[in-house]
Amino acid sequence: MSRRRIAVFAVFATLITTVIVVAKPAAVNAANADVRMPTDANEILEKSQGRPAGRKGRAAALTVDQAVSLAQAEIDAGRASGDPRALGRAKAALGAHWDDPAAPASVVLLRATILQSLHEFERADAELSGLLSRSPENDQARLTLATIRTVRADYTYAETECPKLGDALSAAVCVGNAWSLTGRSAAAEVKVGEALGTLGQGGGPRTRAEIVWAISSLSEYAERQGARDRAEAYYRKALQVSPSDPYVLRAYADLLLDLGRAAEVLPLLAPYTEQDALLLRVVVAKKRLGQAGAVTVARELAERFAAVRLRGDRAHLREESWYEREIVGDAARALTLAQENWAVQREPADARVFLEAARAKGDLAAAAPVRALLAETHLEDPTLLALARSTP
Amino acid sequence: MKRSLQVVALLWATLAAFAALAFFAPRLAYAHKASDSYLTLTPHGDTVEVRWDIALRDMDAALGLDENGDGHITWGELQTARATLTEWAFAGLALSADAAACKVLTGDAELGTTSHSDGAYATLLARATCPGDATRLGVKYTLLFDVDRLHRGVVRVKSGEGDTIFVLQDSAREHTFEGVAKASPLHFVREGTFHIWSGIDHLAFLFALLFPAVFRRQPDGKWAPVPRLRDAAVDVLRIVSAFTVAHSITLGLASFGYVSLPSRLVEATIAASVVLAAVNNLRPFFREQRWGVAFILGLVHGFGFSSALADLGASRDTLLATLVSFNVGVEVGQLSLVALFLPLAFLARHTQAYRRIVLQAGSAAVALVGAVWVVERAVGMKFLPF
Repeated sequence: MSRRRIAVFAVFATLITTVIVVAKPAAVNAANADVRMPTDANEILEKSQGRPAGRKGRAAALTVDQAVSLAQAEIDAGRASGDPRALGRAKAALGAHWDDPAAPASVVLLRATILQSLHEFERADAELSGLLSRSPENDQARLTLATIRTVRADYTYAETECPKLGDALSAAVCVGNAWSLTGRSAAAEVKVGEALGTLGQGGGPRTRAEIVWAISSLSEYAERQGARDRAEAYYRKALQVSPSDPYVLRAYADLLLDLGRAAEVLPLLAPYTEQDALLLRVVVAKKRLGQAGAVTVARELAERFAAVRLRGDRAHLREESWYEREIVGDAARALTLAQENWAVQREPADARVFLEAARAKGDLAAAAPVRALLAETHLEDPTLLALARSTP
Repeated sequence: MKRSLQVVALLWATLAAFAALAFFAPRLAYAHKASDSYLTLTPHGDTVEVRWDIALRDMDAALGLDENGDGHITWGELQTARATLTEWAFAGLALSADAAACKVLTGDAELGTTSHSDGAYATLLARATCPGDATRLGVKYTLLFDVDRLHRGVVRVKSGEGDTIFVLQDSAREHTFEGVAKASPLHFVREGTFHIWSGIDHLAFLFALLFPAVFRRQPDGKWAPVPRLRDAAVDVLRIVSAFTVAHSITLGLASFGYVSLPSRLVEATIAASVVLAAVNNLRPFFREQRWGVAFILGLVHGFGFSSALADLGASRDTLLATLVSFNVGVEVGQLSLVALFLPLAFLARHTQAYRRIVLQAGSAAVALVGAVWVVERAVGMKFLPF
């Protein structure tokens, strides 16, 4: 009997098998390899938000006032938790009013607020401008429009319109922000501090959100004056009022990172890592501390950015730019993202990522728009100015 | 445009890779993210395979999944809601082929679960049948817009070589994908091969017939190893050919609709054929005519293949080509296994291990499993995990 024949047979067998396997192995099933069918019926898959109480289709049956208060409740809940799904639910709650050009002021205000949250600043601006031309006395519209223009680095509107606001605290913070961003942080800190001080003396009832807004503004004014200790004290005070406020947590974490106290960022943000902006600070802190877990967490963040980009959202550009520069190390991509972001919003934080990306890339000329704005506005922020100088 | 598509495809691939990684690395936290569903459509012939991942949070908001109100959605609660959520989901999706409506077979939809960056998702696996082969696949998407107007449907169409991805939203609910690739015969060759490889009952039958191929029964009833590989090969060739010819006949007859048998009867008989082939190795009642047995029982297996082929949704106008391709696939699957088995069996034929463990114990085990299958399939209950 021939061993050669067996060998030939074996080779033949291997060949056939290889051909079939290589010909595209189990492509059909591999596509669904991540789908599980658990064997345990008691396995917990997800938290429930409770009974929907007929949320489906209810928008159609609501009066304008009901729709507005429902949408407002969703927006407030979304602000407190940082959950962007709330915006979509708020929009759905407005139902047909969303597209109604003759909708009442309350609806227009909500539309503008939602658009603002989606970083659709131009459309929000148009809604509010239209509303103010019809009813110039609408303070809420004036305040929101001033905020949006300030984010876009247009401070003249806030300078002239904020003082007209009937509410003293709102007026102070509104104009204080514009002052602080144009080289007058000390005056802004005095003004807002005074307005906050009168609260106890018949300044009227205040929502927690308003107080936190005022205190965190004080932190920023202090930071821009280079008074980091005072800024930290304000942030801590704001967190006493509202410990989970996403905006304050983010700003305070950034201050800690600037102070080289990355270790303190981790316990501060640990409960809130479901928010991408806060997870980014955790990733940065872990990386700066040289923690081994940084890679895993960074991958998680990358997955989130990818999912957001896949759906076509552009609201993460500032965070993505920082991520690409410091975590991935892709300075070119970081700069592109920072430039795209600069076209949408122009706050100091946006200037910061732009300057940092330009420096990382070694493309000093790219950050010219930022330096032009800094020169024009006389912004004091020492960190920004140092960065701008290092990229002449 | 081309470039942006590539970027999007890359994103999708990244996400898929992350999904795979999630098995190994526990997450720090699920993201807060705007609501998306992920819809994958694979058109071939006049059918479209549908995979749809919908966030449990969104389903919960629309339907209320927490039956016992304990604040958690369990797999059991998801399964209980299966019919409701399938109906709800597919009411939010309309597919069309060259502008003619397709019908999603919601009754056969499978339910599973997977996870994305923002939490656990329900996965619906279903098939849609369309009036005919089409080059344009229309998708109209209305899911969840009444609850969340920022919800988006991220749709991937798998056709031809590349994937195409588009995003549907409240303000742009429809999109027509142009250029669905014609189902290639190779697709069905592959399906046939995988059907054999994963069809454990066909394998059990085939191997029960093949175990003794490296022996000859002597007049006294004892097995003696064959002297030459060619003797074994000829025996195997006869058996496999007889099986092939037989199942091709019934596969053809059933696919063209000339004969139709109740599937429970077919499945139970296939199981019985496994028992018969295995017991014959232990207590022979047919000796050298195993190819004859292969032929007769192969007729039954052909009906089984035809229902597998029907599940793949071959279109009427290309049925013959599909049938041939599928059958070729089945043969390739069979031959590859034979080609692996025979040389090994031939080399091992003199050993006690082969005779005792493979031939005797192996046949007994196959007979036992086959017997359980017969009962399972006859009464419609499940005892074995396979």
